[in-house]
Amino acid sequence: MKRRQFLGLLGAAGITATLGTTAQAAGGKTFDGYPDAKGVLFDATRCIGCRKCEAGCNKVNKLPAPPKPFEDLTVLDRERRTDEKTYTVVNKYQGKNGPLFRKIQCNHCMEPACASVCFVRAFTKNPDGSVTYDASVCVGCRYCMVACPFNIPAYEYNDPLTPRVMKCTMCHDQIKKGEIDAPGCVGACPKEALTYGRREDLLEVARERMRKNPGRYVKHIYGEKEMGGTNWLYLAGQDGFGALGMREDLGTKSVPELSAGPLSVVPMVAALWPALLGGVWAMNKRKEKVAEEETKAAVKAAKAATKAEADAKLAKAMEGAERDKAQAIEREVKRALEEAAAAAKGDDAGKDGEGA
Amino acid sequence: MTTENKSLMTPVNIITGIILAIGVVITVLRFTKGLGAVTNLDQNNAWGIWIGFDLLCGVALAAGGYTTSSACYLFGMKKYHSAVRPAILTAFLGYALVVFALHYDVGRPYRLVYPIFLQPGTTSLLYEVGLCVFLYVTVLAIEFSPAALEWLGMKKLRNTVHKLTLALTVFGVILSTLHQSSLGALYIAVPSKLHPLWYSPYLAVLFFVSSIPAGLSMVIFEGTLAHKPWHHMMDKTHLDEHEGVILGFARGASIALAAYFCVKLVAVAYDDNWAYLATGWGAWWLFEVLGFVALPSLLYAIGSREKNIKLIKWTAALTVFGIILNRFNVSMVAFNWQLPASQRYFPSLTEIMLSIFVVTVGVTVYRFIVSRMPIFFEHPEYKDAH
Amino acid sequence: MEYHVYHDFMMHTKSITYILMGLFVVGFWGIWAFMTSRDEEIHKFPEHDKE
Repeated sequence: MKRRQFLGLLGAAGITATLGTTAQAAGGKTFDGYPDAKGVLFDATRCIGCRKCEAGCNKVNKLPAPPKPFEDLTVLDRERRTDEKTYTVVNKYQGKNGPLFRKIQCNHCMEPACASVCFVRAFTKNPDGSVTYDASVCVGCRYCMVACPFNIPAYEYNDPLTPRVMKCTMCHDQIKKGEIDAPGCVGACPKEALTYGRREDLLEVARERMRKNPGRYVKHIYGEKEMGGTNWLYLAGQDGFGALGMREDLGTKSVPELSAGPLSVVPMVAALWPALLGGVWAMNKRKEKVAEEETKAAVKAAKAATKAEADAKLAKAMEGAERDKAQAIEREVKRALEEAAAAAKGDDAGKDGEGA
Repeated sequence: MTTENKSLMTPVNIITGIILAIGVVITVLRFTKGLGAVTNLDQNNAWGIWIGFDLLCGVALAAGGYTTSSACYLFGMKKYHSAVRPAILTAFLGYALVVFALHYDVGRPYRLVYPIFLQPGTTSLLYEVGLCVFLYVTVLAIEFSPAALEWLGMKKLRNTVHKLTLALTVFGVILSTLHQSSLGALYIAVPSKLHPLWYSPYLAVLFFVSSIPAGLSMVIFEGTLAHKPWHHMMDKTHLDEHEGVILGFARGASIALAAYFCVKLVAVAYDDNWAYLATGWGAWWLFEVLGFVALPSLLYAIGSREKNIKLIKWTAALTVFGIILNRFNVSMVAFNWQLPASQRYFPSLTEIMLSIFVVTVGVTVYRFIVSRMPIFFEHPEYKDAH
Repeated sequence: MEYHVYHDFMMHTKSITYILMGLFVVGFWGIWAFMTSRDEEIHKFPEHDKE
């Protein structure tokens, strides 16, 4: 584990040196996200685990009331995650000097994994930085939940026919309509542990806090580069992000960048397979045809050879027959001549008839 | 009670009936109470055995369709002709069941065509899978249709369809290459959730290459199972070629498994994950790769060299099991490996029963078809066509 | 069009790619059919090669 994290960091450092959080297409096209995209900075050193943000979120999003009231802090004794009725939760962890708290919700990735893997484009990365979900096209395949590196999207498992994927929207609709000017959780926080603003500015704010409070924070802004960067950013105290239950081995590559490789091969199959397979088929066809023709030719040759042999035999036989015939004639002629000679000698007439 | 009714009450039919009845009950529960009532899926484990077995294994094991038809029609191995129809039938049923099972798993099955016709999410590898499976089911249905049309006596249509054989075979291989590999590439998105020994940039290649021995082994395996009950249905050509098919496929599977083994090692080398081999996960990985990839490759080689049909048949079963193990490892066992044991997924009884139900539906339809249509024999009227 | 998000850019390029793929397959079939249209029937389909 340790070794892998180290290697991951090394790799991350290497990529960061050239790319930063910028996603890059093959031809050098780069993508830095919407210029005015908003985000939230969570400062773990300020969070006191009061769960007011949970209550604020619940109210603004009109979510069902939880089984235990938000004032009940014993809920924090168990680590929780977001679910279909809860867009955000606060968890308590044990730090070196007392308890630590961390709020979780959708991080609104700059290159969202959920949007990248959704096969009906149900997720949208909006210019305001939020990632929103459209239930009207969702098929319910839950690939978004599988793909999310932060385990955020939740599913209405108990709805038999119209289940939705539920997750934080950064209060996109409410802010757009002007009902509120910051997400519900941010507005409810009594300790200014949450700051809403332009992501670019928030990065500056975070760096400023680190500069002004030496020794208070670990030198890392979580979300600046993780999984291609997120619009929700985190600052942690000296205990670090691992102590807050956050994965530090996610790497900086976004899901769109990860899937670019296999996706690039897809059209190659359509372009090359017909040619290759057609070629293989044609070659086999030709081989078969040649083999067939060779067989035919061989049969023909064999037939021809047999015929020639037969002809030769016949010729020989004919020759023999001719010779016999000639000899026979010769014999006959000779005998006729002898007989004629005898007749000419004037022997008896009876021998004439025999000679005919 | 007529004698016909009595003959239907065979032990096999009774078991089939019970499983089908249980399946109906689970179906009702699924569509009235939701996935939560019948599955152990939760917010961290969104995909269970209905994806890991029904989809991933179903598609991999139905690869016999494209491997057999391309061997026969494209690569010129005419002696495998009698194996094509059974393989196409199995593939068609396999894919049809995959689609059927997906209707249980997705939340809104009535929207399954949305990605294709309404709003395609082309950046998703699942879109690639969906499009290809949709097209390939259609291709397989057409490829299979001559058998049904011969049975129904629709000569003209059958001959028209038959002329498309080459085009359909090529298209089928393109689609199979694409979706077999994309099923693996689905997991490209989750480097932080899948154990490094199974996560690899080569996932697409691994899934595609392993689908070849999976398909070939399934043809051998299924041929073995079908041989006894339907021996009387098999014509002389089928019976004569049967052994040749087994020996040839064993050879192909042995080489394909060896190639798969190589890619498996390269995948470990790529991210320098060798150290993990010394852990418990490494032992499990070695169990899979040595026991169900390297070993069957060797056994197939021995079997085809010594013409040991029995050994080959057992190896086919071993390979099929190995492919299932691999798909389970990627989708469930090594997935979310970092979560504490209490948050890990294990299928519920109803999930397992539904998967058994789906397989049973397939076997039942298979039995219905091979007992009637010209699958193991050539229809006397079309003999000359081959 | 200017894209700020790589994912949106990919959606654009991949959609075009899928359309191209469809054209490839149809195109290959077309050129093949054209090329072999004067061949004798027996050379076109593997099933028909035995006279």
